[in-house]
Amino acid sequence: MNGDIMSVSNKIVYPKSQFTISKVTFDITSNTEVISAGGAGIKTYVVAIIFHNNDSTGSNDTPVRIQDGSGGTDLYGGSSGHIYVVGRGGLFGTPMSVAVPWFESSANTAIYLNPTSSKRIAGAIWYYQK
Amino acid sequence: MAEQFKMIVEGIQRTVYRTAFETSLAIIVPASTNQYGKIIELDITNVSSSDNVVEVVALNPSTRLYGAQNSAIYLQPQDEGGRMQFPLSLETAWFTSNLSEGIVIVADDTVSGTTTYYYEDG
Repeated sequence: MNGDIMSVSNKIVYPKSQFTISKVTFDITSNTEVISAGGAGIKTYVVAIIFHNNDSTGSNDTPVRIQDGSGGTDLYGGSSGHIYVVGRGGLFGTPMSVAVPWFESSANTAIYLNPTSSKRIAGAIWYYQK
Repeated sequence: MAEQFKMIVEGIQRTVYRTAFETSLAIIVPASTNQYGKIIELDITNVSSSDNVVEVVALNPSTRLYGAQNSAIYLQPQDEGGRMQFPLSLETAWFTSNLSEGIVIVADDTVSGTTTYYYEDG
C-alpha cells in the first residue's frame, strides 16, 4: 500500500459545556501564529478549519503547513505535512467535529499556519482550549 | 419562506430553519429581537461563468464572518465547480449574528445555495 498510515487517539470530552468553541479568522502570506498558546498544561483542540487560496495572481497553487509551534511538528497531512490549495478559489475545509477534534497542539504551544510559497491564504479555525 | 425542522443542536431541541437563495445579495438569516442567529450549514455554488467573490456578513456592526480584512471567498466559475461548503453541524454553529441582527450574503455575481440556522436567546 502506498502512502502513510497514521492513527490518532482522541479523548472525547462531553458535555460540551465543559469548554467554549472559539473562532479565529486569518489572512496571511507567511508563517503566522493563528492560535496563541493556552497557558501551562493547556492544549488547543481544532474542531474545524477552512481556508482558501487568496493569491491575487490567481494562478499559484499554494502548499500550506499547519504546525505545532513555529516550525514545529506538522499537525495535519502526510509525511510531507502539506495541504495544497489550487490557484485562486482553491479551498480546503473540514466538517465541524467537536466530539473528536481533527488535531491538537502540545500543551502551552501556539498553532501556526505556514503558506510555504508565501502566497496569500485566508480562512478561519474553530477550536477550544482545555 | 424558510422550511422549519425540529432538530437536536448542541444537545438541545431547537427549531431550525433551512432556506435556499439564488442572488448576489440576500438576507440569509433574518434578524430576531433579543436573539442571536446561528448558522449551522452554509452551501454556496457559483452560478456565474466567471470568478465570483462572496462575503458572509453580520450586520450592525458590519463584520465579515469568514476570512479577514480584505479576504472574501473566491469561487471559481460554475464550469470549474466553484463551491463553498460549511457542512451541517449539530454540535456547534459556524457563524453567529450580532444580537437582534441578521446575516447577509453579498456576491459580485449570482450565487445559489442553502443555509440552515436557528435562534438562541440573548
